Amino acid sequence: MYGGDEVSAIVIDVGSYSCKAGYAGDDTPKAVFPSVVGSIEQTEDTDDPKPDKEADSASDSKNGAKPMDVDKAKTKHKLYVGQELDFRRDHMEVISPMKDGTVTDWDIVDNIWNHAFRRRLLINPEEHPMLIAEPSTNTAQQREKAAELMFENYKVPALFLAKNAVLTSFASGRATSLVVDSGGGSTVVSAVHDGFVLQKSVATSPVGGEFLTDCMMKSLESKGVVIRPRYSFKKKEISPGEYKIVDLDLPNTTESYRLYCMRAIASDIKESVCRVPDTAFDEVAYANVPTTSYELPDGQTIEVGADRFKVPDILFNPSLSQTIPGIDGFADSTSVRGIQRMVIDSINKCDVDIRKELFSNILLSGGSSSILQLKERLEKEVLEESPQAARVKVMASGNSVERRFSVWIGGSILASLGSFQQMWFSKAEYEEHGVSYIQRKCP
Amino acid sequence: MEAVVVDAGSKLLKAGIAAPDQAPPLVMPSKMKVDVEDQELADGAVVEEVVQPVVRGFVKDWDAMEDLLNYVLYRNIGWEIGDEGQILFTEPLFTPKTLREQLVQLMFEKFNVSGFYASEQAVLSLYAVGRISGCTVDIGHGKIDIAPVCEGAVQHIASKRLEIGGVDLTNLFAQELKKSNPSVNLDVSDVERLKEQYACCAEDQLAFEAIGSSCQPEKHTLPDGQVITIEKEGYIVGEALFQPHILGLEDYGIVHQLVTSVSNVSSEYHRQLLENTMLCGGTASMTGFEDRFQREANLSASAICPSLVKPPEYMPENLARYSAWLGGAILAKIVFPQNQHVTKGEVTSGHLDVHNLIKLVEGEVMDCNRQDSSDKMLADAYVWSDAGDPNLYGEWDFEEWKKLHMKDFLAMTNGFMHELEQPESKTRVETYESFMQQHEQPAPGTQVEG
Repeated sequence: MYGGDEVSAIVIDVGSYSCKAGYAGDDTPKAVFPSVVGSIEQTEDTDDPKPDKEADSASDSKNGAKPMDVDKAKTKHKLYVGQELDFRRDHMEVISPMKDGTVTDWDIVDNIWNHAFRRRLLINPEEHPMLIAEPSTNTAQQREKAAELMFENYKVPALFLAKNAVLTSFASGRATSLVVDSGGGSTVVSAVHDGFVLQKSVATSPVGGEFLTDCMMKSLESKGVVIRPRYSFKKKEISPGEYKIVDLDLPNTTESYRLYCMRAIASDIKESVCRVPDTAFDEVAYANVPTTSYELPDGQTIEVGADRFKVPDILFNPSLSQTIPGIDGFADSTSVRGIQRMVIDSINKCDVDIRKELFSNILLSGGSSSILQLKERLEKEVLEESPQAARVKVMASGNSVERRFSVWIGGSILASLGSFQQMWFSKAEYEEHGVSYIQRKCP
Repeated sequence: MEAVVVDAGSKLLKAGIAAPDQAPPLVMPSKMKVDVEDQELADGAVVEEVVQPVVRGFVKDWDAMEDLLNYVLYRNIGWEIGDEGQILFTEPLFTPKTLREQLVQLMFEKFNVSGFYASEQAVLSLYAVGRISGCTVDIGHGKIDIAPVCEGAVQHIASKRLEIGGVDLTNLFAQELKKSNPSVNLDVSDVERLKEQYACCAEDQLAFEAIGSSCQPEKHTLPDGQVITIEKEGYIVGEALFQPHILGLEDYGIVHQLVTSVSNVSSEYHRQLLENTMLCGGTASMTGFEDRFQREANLSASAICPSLVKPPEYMPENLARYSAWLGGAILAKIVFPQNQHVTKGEVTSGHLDVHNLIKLVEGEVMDCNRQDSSDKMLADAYVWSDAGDPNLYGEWDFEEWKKLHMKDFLAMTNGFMHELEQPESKTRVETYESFMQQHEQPAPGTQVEG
């Protein structure tokens, strides 16, 4: 048992899009930065680095028998985390440590943690107990690896792994609820009962914030809009008050970095103009909807019309994304369901007794849940398919900052509770019982 | 007694009694020389050791800090032992909690102050120009802090701290001078003074590139008689903040950093933040810096275009250099009289969360005053940050409660009244408890919906 005295715990939540870290007891995390990192290969022999592909094929090459496999093991990578990623460098690839919501590259996660502790929070991890938020679908192996990394590399005094859904539930003060976490990489629906996640009810969908951003981007491109990444142009003053855009030629910028910057802009467009339609999106009905204008960083003004409603509706109807040119089909298209379908299915997989409570306690969390009108539409859709007697209530914190960080906030609350202090998995216990003891300590 | 405000920077320490419309009475270097009188060295040489208590904005050497504050508080400001007053400290962004706790400990244990408060320099600088929302770009000796502030609360998520500052520019200047004047021996303090005299910013990037050919060399005589020629080195120093690759760093210029910082705040605040951008810190008073900053700012997309704020006329000249101290003086006038600071009683009465108490002024949080004293009291305070949040009070459906539970509740309450009025009644708590066990009903008020 860890009887820490007055030293505040650190809560860290590494999501698929952003990493949040801060002190327990605070109401928002102090450090928020992207979870993707920039990586430049440092080969000793050759001058031109072998092009590293994006996350998907990177992890494929780990399993598959591509010849790149061997080279990857030999070459070293210099990683750029957080703010450093903002600066464009030649040959810098953008890679993500996660795939489908679970960690595949622990080296990158290690770098991310290091950056959070030593550069952003400016703390010494040996002095603070750590609360780590993990996905609801985390395997035993992943948890052991995380625990091992924390204790061996960072020598933390105590550790606890808590599931995202439980923390969100905590943040809203409920012990039982259905958590709909719509984050960057995926949407996860899980039922929490008395502080425990009901594993059979957990459902995931690859439709998340990043997917919606991609749809927005491709949709705009198909309409002829050219999104210039921030680094690729410069504004020059040709006469007082008059400016001209000059394109910069930077041939060594990798494709993944270019996409990353374009996505950042498309993401901003999505966040400013999108709204969930009140009823299912219909191409014909929305053809003449009034457009909203948006100014791109290079000064161009674009008009966004039907896309404003089409893109968010993909959450409810994933097959809509197939109508956008350039978006690939899902790997397993039959299993990708709309969010309302996932909610109903999840609840139906739980015991009949708690279903009523779950229906009336549906919580929205995650960055993508801040889309306007999402709460109302989800309530309406679930109401249509729910049993007659059920009272459907979807809850979402009014403040969009709280929605985005609700997992972190839940962790902050949990770690500062007096009654929690005896639940830490301490270093002494780790050394005595080994890493598999964590399965017992952190259910 | 008036409160004392101390702004301990990496280069200069500003301190004095809080008087908001005057420059700080005491401005002295925070670097100190160690007195080696008592030390016997084997070779008889006198080693001058220079000690810097504050490095890159954070206090690193606590003993040195203690000595420095001893001098400032007792010798300069005139406090007497046993009658110490209240003190307000400024701190840079992202100060680790342990550092703040150590400072509090030092203040109360060694110096025995009667009241203490700490606030971030970014917010204070804005108070100095009469604003509570805006963007501060604090270019100090050891670091640059870029902080968007909304209604007095620093948006930590969007803030940035860059580990470059005046000290790096000095080194750059020394390097450049060495290249053009290889025979001259320069001392760091000389370079520092030269930098302050000669560093300037070109009008824009094109002008900078043209400088090389058009600049007039100037001759300068150092105190020890050596003569050096200064040509475009001054301009290079000024340019370094806008093009950090001159310093060898892979990063964007300061205006770009500000723009990306602001874009991380939700868009409803953008306008307010950008119209109230403030430059402060010693390095920001470089010749031509403000104009260059404004010009570069105009080049960014029109949606996010910072514009600099004008300091009020009643404030002293050189506001930029001392804005954190001046803001501290303003804040001290509010915090101490209203008893929102940390007092000794609160510190010695057990587990104290200094951080939540200090948040009282900066964010919209609830008041948590502790009046009682010596018993150890463990208090974990979780404060709701948004008083206007509709979910703060949950939902309670009165109609439903009325239908289902009101009758029982009334019956129980009547029972209590009856019990308590009897001559041989038990204490209130016992009465309630016996009722609970009897009826096994949940206590009223917990039938909260949702």
